[in-house]
Amino acid sequence: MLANILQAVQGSLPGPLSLLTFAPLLGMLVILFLPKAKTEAIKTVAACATFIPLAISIYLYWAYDRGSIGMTAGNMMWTEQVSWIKAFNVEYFVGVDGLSVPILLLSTLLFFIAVFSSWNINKGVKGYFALLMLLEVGTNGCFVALDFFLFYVFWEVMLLPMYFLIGIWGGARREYAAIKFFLYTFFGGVLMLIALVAIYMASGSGDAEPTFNLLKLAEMAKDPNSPLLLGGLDLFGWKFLSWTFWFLFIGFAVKVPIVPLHTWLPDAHVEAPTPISVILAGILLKLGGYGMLRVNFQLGGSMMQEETTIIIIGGIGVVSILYGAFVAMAQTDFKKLVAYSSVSHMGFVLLGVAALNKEGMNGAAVQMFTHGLSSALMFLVVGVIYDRAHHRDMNRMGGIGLLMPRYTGWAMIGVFASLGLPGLAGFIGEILVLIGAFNSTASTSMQIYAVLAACGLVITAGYLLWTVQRVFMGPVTDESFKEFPDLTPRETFTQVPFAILCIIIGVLPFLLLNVFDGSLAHLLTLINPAN
Amino acid sequence: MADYFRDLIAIGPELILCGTLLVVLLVDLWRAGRDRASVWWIALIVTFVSCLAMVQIGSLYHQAEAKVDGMALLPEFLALASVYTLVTVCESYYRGRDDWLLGTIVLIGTALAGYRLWDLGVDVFSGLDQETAYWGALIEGDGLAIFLRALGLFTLFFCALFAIFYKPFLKGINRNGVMEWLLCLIGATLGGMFLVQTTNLLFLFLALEMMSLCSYLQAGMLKGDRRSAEAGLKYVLYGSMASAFMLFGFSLLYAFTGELNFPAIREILIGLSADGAIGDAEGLLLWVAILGSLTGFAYKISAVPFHFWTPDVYEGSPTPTTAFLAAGSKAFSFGILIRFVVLLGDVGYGARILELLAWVAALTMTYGNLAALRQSNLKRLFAYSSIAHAGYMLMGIVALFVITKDTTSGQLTAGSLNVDGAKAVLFYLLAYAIMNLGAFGVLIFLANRTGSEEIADIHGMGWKAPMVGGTMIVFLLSLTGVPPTAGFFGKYYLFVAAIQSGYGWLVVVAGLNTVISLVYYFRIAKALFLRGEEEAFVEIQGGKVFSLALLFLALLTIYFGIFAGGATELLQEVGTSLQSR
Repeated sequence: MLANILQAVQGSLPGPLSLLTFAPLLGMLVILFLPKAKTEAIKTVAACATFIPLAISIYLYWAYDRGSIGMTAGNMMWTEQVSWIKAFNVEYFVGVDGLSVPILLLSTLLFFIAVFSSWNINKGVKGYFALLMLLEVGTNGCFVALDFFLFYVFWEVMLLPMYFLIGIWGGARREYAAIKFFLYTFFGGVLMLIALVAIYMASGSGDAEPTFNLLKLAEMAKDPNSPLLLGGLDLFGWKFLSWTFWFLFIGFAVKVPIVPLHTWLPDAHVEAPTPISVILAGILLKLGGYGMLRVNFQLGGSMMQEETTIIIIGGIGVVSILYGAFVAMAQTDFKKLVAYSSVSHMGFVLLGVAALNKEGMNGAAVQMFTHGLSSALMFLVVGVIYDRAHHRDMNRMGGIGLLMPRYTGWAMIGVFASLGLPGLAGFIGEILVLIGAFNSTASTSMQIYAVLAACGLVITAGYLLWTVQRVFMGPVTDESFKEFPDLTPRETFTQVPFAILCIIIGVLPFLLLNVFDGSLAHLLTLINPAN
Repeated sequence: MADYFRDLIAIGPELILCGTLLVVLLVDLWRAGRDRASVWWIALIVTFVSCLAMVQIGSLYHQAEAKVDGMALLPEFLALASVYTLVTVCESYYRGRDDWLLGTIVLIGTALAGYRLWDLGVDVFSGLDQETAYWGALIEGDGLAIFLRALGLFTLFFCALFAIFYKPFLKGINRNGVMEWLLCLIGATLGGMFLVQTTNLLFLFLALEMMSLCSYLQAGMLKGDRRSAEAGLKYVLYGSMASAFMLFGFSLLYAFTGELNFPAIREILIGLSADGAIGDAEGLLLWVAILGSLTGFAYKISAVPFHFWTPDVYEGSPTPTTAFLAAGSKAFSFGILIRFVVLLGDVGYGARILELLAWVAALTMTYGNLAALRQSNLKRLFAYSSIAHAGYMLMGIVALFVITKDTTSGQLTAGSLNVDGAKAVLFYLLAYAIMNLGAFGVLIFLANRTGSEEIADIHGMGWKAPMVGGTMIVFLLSLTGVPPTAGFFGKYYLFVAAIQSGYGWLVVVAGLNTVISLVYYFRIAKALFLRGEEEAFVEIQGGKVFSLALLFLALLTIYFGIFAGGATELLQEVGTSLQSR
């Protein structure tokens, strides 16, 4: 009897992924109905609404079926599949595999921390937290969606909250930064939409029902006789397969971001308030890389087998690594430096994917995860000093190491993780990517790329160590710094999880790799059957 | 006799609107002076009695024939009767607040007409009513007509609602103009509702002129306002020229075929081209005929190069009129354009025309969006935005046929009908009506408080009226085409239709245009929320009913952005019914 009731209750509950995605939406609605003056209540609701997804994703990570044959065959776990729009075969189809589970963990953790990092926001509190919740819906939704249309909807849902979060709560040039972010991403989104429609139409040629199901589409793309490879609409005399691939690529690359589509990033990062920079660098950039792996490269596997594609993508990766590092070196604004270092680090993701082998793929995925940790920590570090000094000019800093020892301690973990010091998280991703690139048979240029990327590491070490020197070492240049208190408990609470995770991943990388591995192996067979 | 009733039922909603129009006239007549009261009472009693008689006859007829729903005729006349009763009661209570009264009458009349239309729609969509030609094939009461009439009533409802709150109508010289304005609004809607259900060139012209004349009057209705006068005059001048072109085209079509009905014209043209009777000279003539006819429609939907009236008329007209022009007038015109193109797109030189229309679409959306970038007046901005949206929707019209080009002769031929084009346009019209009405509603709300329609004057208003500001964001998102809003699905369907018909390049142009449009739509969002928040957070009080109406529209926008399936299936049926031509 009781078992029956329990079963009935269980049947009517949403699955863990739906709950994870829509708990923040519920939080948003509650916040909207709370009176504006009750700021504490609003923050508490936000904390609860972001804790639920975090708890679920920790459970998912724990319960994930590591190393099983099913996952290597491309299975999905915790799937939910409901028809959404029958006329167009659009489904509400969610599920996770080894690629999405760790990134979900990162995403939900970041949002949870972001709520606490936003605790001292005092302008338009209600709107701020409501938008933050909406942002989490879009972000998590993207990572669980297995229907292309659903993915696109979640992808676009993120734009609006981000626009307002930068535009209202940002710094001096916030209006410019906000619309620039919106425009760039929306431009990419429109290209993606066009490709999405074309792919959908092409998948339905012949007797087949057109579909948005990403798993089905990926299977179709593998078949050399499928309409996805042969048929479809040419554009300006440009072959269907080619233009859809590059349209999707640009759509995701804007978000990664790659050079030369990166110019929105320094503006957005610098102008956004600290928690939003954390989310932006920590998770929104990963959406670009994730989208490429989940959508772009799976649907365009045969494009990835062409050497030109590899040369272009790997080349873009290397250019991003070097360009980002050099520009970062020229910065005096602490936050801008971290922003450009993101461009540099995300270049490794592209390079790793371009290697088209197991090491490269795993390296790219790990790099996404660890960059999420280290960049989040770095932006929190910048936020702490900005809160106190009200400027970010590194030439006017110095000697903070003596004045704020605890702060410096946590900051060093961020800096060295970002630098790629062995034993910390950043090292794992970068070394795997480099190994992958060296061993790659996809193109002869990959070895050259690997050498160049390794040089990029030296530059990275250069600008980060120089930063440490300018900010934390040396004599105290500004007397007012002496009155700065060390980390408050709240600030410590926001930084510690990232620092600890940086160390754990650095020492025990298999915790991450054994989740990624199976699904990435499957992904690799889709992209490059030769492997 | 039986046919007569059947035909009457078919235009039931329009009859109710006519009744509403009469009521407004009568109320005004009574208000004008005590001495006219007796006239009014007599009129009232006569109408009431005749209504009752009609109801009686109608129900008898239905019992005898049992053809459609037995109650089909009843609601129409009950509606009329109840409106009359309401007027007598209300007028005695609400003297002095008559602006509310007149507006409310229109709202009730519209709602009743909508109820009647619902009945008709159920018959049509459930397949009960197979034969949809009425009045000797003057009128085609098919799914397309039902859908667009419903959209027209929806627009009418909200325009009348906005008029109740529109400040220039509430004070000064225009105080007594509301009645005339409402009459024109109903008249224009009636014209439009007839326009979308006709398949006869002559009737089409009459309906279009009824809609146009009433729109001209509406545009110039703000007495003492030079911009409004300019708007009215400009609209009339351009409109009459476009009508002349259209009439010329129609006369050529008639001369060519000797028929006025679309299906008949189609038959003859197909026959002629099958016989090879359309040579170069005839082809040119036919080309001119269709082009001339299209001019009239292009003017109404403000497609480039017939768009010049739009910014001035939109800016000068009273804002509820602007809302009607953008949402209602445009929907009706696109409706008849669909009918026209579906019937004539693949005969004779149709393919060449469609090719031309594709360029018009690309030009229209690009011009509209680029011009909107530089506007500082909100109504002007929305005028250019409406030009741009006309361009998007033309994409769906173009996609109605797959054009194939013979590689050797360069001859263009239109292939089979792609009903997804019509479906996309219709869904877009629905989305566009909802979001545009909402946006103009917000403009009225803001202008009522700031007294200005400039972007610079609404800074920080989002903080002062968070709910209305929030709804505006939803409308702007929808206009840009960001999910999950109705506008996104509209754009998506248009893209699907265009790609199906092989217009990839047009989709890319439209996509890039969407990005451009983001810039100016979000200038409004910026003004509302990103500026002026340092001013004291004094929330605007009042305007509850108005705010709720706007919230309703915003929720509707989101609803159609998430649950587009129902509307899509309905429109699928509309599209399929078009296939039978």
